[in-house]
Amino acid sequence: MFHHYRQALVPALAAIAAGGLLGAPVPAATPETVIGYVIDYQGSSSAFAIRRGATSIGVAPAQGLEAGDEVTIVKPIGNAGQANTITLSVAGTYVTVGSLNSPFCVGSQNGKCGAAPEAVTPGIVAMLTGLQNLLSSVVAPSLRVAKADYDSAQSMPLASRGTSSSPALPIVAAPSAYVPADLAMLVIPISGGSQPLQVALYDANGSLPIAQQHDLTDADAHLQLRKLPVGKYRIQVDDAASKAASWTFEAVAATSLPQADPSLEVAMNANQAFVRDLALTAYASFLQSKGPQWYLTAYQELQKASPDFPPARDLLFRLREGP
Amino acid sequence: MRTSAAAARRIARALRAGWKHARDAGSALRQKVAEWWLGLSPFPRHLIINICVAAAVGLVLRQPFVQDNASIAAARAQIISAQMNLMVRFERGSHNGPDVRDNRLAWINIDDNAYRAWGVPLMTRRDKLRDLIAFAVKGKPRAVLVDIALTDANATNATYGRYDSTLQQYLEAYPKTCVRPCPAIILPRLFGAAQEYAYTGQPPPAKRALPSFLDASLGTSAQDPWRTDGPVVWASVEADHESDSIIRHWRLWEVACNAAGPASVIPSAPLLAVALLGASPAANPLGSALSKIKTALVPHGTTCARESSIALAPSRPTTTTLDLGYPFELTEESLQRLIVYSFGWAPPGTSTQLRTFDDVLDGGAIAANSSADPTYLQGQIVVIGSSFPQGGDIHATPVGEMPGSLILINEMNSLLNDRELKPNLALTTLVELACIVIIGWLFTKLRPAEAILASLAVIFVLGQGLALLVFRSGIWIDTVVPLLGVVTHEIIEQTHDRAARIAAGVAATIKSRFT
Repeated sequence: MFHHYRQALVPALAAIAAGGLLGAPVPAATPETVIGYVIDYQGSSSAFAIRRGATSIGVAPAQGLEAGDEVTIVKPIGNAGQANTITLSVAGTYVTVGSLNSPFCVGSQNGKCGAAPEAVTPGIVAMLTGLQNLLSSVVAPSLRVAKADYDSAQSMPLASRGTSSSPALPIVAAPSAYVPADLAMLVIPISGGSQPLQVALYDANGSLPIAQQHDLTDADAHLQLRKLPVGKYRIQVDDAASKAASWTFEAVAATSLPQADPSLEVAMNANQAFVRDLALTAYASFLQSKGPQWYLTAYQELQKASPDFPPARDLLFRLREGP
Repeated sequence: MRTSAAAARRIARALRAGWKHARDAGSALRQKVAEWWLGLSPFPRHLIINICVAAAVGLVLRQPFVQDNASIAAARAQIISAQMNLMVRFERGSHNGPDVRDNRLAWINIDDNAYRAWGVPLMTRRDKLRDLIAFAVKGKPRAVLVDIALTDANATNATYGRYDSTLQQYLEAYPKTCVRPCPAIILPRLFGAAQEYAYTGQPPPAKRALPSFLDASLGTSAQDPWRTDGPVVWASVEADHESDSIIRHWRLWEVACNAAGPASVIPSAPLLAVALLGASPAANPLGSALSKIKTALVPHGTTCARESSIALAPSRPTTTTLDLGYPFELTEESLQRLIVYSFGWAPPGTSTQLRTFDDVLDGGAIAANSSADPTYLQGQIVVIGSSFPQGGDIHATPVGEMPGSLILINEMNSLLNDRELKPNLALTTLVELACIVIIGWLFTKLRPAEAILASLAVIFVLGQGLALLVFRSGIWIDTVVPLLGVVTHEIIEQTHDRAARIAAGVAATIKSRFT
């Protein structure tokens, strides 16, 4: 009697554990083989990987785990600077996997990979484990315990920014940044990093720089160019403390630039310095208003104005801050 | 042998007689209780059942697995935010209220105008910061709390490097040049993830204290927060980072793993500043405050290991007491770490309905005018911080956005005025029982839909109203658990009624079949 009951129940549990009823995208697993599951994780799911033999399994809460599954932290630190961790329940015990105990091998002694997996109890015990997994996957989210650990809880400083230790280009912080093609000089404001800086400009595919400036000790890099063609480019900055960073931007045809009023264009070429500075500042301000992608272009335009013209100086300051 | 058997029989007889007597007395009592119960009208009977069920539900809901539940914690956080917001609105303008005792706190604010006038993008000029510290110190405050990160040196260009040197030279010379008793200068120690170490018995990650470019010249160390050669000391300025990024909880110490072995326990700047205010100015107030805090904080420390291990962490107390003029509890408990905000913030050019902090000095004006009079700051805690957006120190709080410096001021105001929130079990139970009794009565007298609406109104007025009243005195009444209790109770009650009706129906059917 019990045998028949078990024969009917086991496939049903297997189907549920495999996500059929819960809707979770988990691979097929049977209660006999599932010995644990994913409880929760801190960070993006892409920061973790679960491998079962040669197959990679997606990470999701209530994901069933079999003996021999390898749980790895792909990205130890999240974008917000927090440590990425994943909490598993294996054979009724909670295990938190972080960068220090990654990779974690499910079912092996102490979670160390390479150790022999512990024998999986067959029969009724495995069925009960499956049932426990099922209940936990349904009940666990609603009974999730608020993070209580004080020491390792995430915290944030309530202090004003001091400085950036790595080189930064806030002006090209937007997903895309544009400059007009045919530039003869590209001026790039750099924040942070230890001087002297080495600045190099590469085209999208090139490994050799098309322009560079060595031993920069100024806040702006000035890259001499021979008419920059339309296309994508990469700026790389290396500082004296061996910290490097790179950013990309695109040179676009003049026709793609936000167009100023024709009278403003005339004023930008006026002979009187005041009129010219005012018009250049107005045009740069207009570009700034079109979005952060045009900040670098606005910065180039303001290079033509007198550095002593207060509105131009103020706008340069704001553009250097980035969006 | 025969005698002992007879004695045993006598004892057995006596026991049987005693048992019979007790049984008779029990049935008499049962009968009396049954008669009394049947003699009751339906309302008190319903009420008594309600109270018994409520007591049972309340007992279950007080278990840790319910209390620590993430959903309940989130609901509590929302209610506390709303209460805090209401409280700050109510208290607007009432500066003589019980919570604002005196003017022991001041804020030198570097606003957007000052930042732009100083002409260095994305950071605070450190030569100007030196000027502000020098100004504050001249006023003979008890402590100057610098709320601007000083971790990395500015090596971007020679000019910025000179700004760093100006500050460094000033702080290095400060122990020799200051007028005794020297006002303490508290600098912010920041933290990062410890890649190599973990807290013993806990999953990674651990935190590590970040060294500063000033450590070498000041004789201080990220690993030893208690080591200081003079009146300059480092302390943490951290708050809990919650999933909705709202700053609700203070962190009065940090535990850092910069090496294997005992972890460093680093006190928070607000805690140290408030302890300094309470220390006697005659002797060495900083030494005395640090020693007092160290005694209270070190038990909260743990040990650090090179790898995460299953070894048990040393057992430690959940709560220690620090004398802040009153016995203050240093605890990891989330409720008691809630920051009770007394001040909101109105960014320049805006107005707010919240009460604002008025003792604000303009950092830009002070830096521009070296002859400004600082005597106003005597005996105070002076916070030097920024409110310009590019400083990256504007945070969301339950009472709206505000600069980190103002959050620290709110923390210190709470610490100075004993406004640590404490749960009050007696009041919570009272509210819970009152809700049960009134709601039980409402469900007896009204139709279900009306009773539910009326119940919600009762919970809001009685629970939240009373909670808000006592909130001002630092007492927290948990209205989430009573609410859950009422809901659970009503579910049980309804289920019970339905089951009773079904049972009665079944009984009636059976009876009609057989008669």
